[in-house]
Amino acid sequence: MLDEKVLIIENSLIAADTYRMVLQGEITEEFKPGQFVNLEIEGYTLRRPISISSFDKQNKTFTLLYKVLGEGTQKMAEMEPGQKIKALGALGNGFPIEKAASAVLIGGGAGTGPLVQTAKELKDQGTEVKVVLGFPTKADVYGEEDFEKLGITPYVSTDDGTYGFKGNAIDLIKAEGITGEIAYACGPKRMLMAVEDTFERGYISLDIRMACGMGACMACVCKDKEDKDKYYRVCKEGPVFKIGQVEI
Amino acid sequence: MSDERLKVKLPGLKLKNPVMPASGCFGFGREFAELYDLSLLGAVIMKAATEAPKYGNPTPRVAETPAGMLNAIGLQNPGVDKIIEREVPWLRQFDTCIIANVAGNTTEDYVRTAEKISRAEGVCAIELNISCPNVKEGGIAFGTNPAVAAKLTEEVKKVSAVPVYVKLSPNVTDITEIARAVESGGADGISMINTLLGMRLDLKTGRPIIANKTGGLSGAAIKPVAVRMIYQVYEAVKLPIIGMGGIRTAEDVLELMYAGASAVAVGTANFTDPFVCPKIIESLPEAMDKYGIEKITDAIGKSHRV
Repeated sequence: MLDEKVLIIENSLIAADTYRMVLQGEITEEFKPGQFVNLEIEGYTLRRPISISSFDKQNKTFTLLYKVLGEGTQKMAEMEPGQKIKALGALGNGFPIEKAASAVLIGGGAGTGPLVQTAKELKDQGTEVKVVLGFPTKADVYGEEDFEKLGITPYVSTDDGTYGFKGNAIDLIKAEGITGEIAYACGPKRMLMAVEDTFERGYISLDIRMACGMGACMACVCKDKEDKDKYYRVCKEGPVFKIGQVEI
Repeated sequence: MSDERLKVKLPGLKLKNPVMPASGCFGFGREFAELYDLSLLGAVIMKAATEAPKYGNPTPRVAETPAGMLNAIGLQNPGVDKIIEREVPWLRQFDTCIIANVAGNTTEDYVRTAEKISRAEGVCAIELNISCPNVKEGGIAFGTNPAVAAKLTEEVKKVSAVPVYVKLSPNVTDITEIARAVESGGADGISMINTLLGMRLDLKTGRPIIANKTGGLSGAAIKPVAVRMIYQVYEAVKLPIIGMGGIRTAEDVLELMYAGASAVAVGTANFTDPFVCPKIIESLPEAMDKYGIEKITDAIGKSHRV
């Protein structure tokens, strides 16, 4: 774990309120798919936990795909290449890259980010990867090019049908009969619950308000589904959990 | 690294410097030990211990505020037995004082928890938490009524093997009244302030952001409140004070000490910068030079002598 001032190489608008930030720093060395960094935003007490979308260990660069949801992320959006931002990481457990003949990766809205590196590493080991992305409307759609670079054409849905399939990502999976040995998902709670109903094997990544991001403050806990006395810190034992492991 | 200028002595605590992480913002130190050597710290105040394990409140438990944050964790902890078995022995490897924060629902379980943990090898003092604003029973209910606070202090003092610092709530009309009450109950020191009760609403849903509805406000925003209250309590009682509330820098440490604190705890700032405690300790001598303070003990209550 490092707390490093990393260099902003790119920070550009890619969809409605959604940005791609490319950063460079030593911190990249320990990254695993599905982990996150906790970013210090000048003038704000709490850091912003953002999923690492993809990384390149050779060039020590990593990409964040983030959505502006409040003042802190708005400040991030206003930052320019050449500026530095303090990042604590790598945090969290990340997606385990398990052996499987085929995998379905499901991203809902801002949950698309952490799936890019996951897709890459699964594909590199020979797993057939299908990516399904769901957004509210056409203006929100992003991430297609990130997967296309890996040779994967994502299935895309929008709730209002303005782009791709009309409906949500799970509707699309059912309509197209998309199947896989294992699922990897990140997105809103409702979507994760539907993923758990649809797939038996796989992993989900939770999004929750955090404070320290490193396991000390107990702000971001969730409960085990079976053992009511057992709990997990989403920032430390998560954000990735096995399907069926925790109360979403 | 032992700097004579920074040494402070309080009941039960021989501190190499006056800086310690505040209870609840540091867990039991394990996560921060991955970042720096905890032996640098004057002391460590552990996360609150209750008699039985406690899961705490539903999430979301935190929300940001201007220059601070709200939290309603709800004293989540594995229970006093596991803390004694696993956390205290682990912390003993570091050359620092261990302070155990004790919380409860009733006088009886406060007393049993305090008695147990005060006898754990390595625990130098107890911080008696009568000021948590985020639990339905106990906590702040003991910290807002002087007679109740005095009685609890007295009962805990009877069984504790180590000095007892009572942690006061700022959510009272007159904090000096509570301070005097715990002094009469036999407290060895005071720790102050806990968080200020606050609330934030989500404009999209109209609902409170924190699931518990209300939470405790901490961070830079509350520093002036802490300074004012420490200043008042310093004049009202003879007990040493561990001061906390919005500390981020060595200058903030001096300000709380000028007001009357003998040592300080750093809370929320650990979330902004996990290295904040060692950074403050490192920069403290320079800040002391700047303000002509030879020994850190000279800063204690300085504003009452000018």
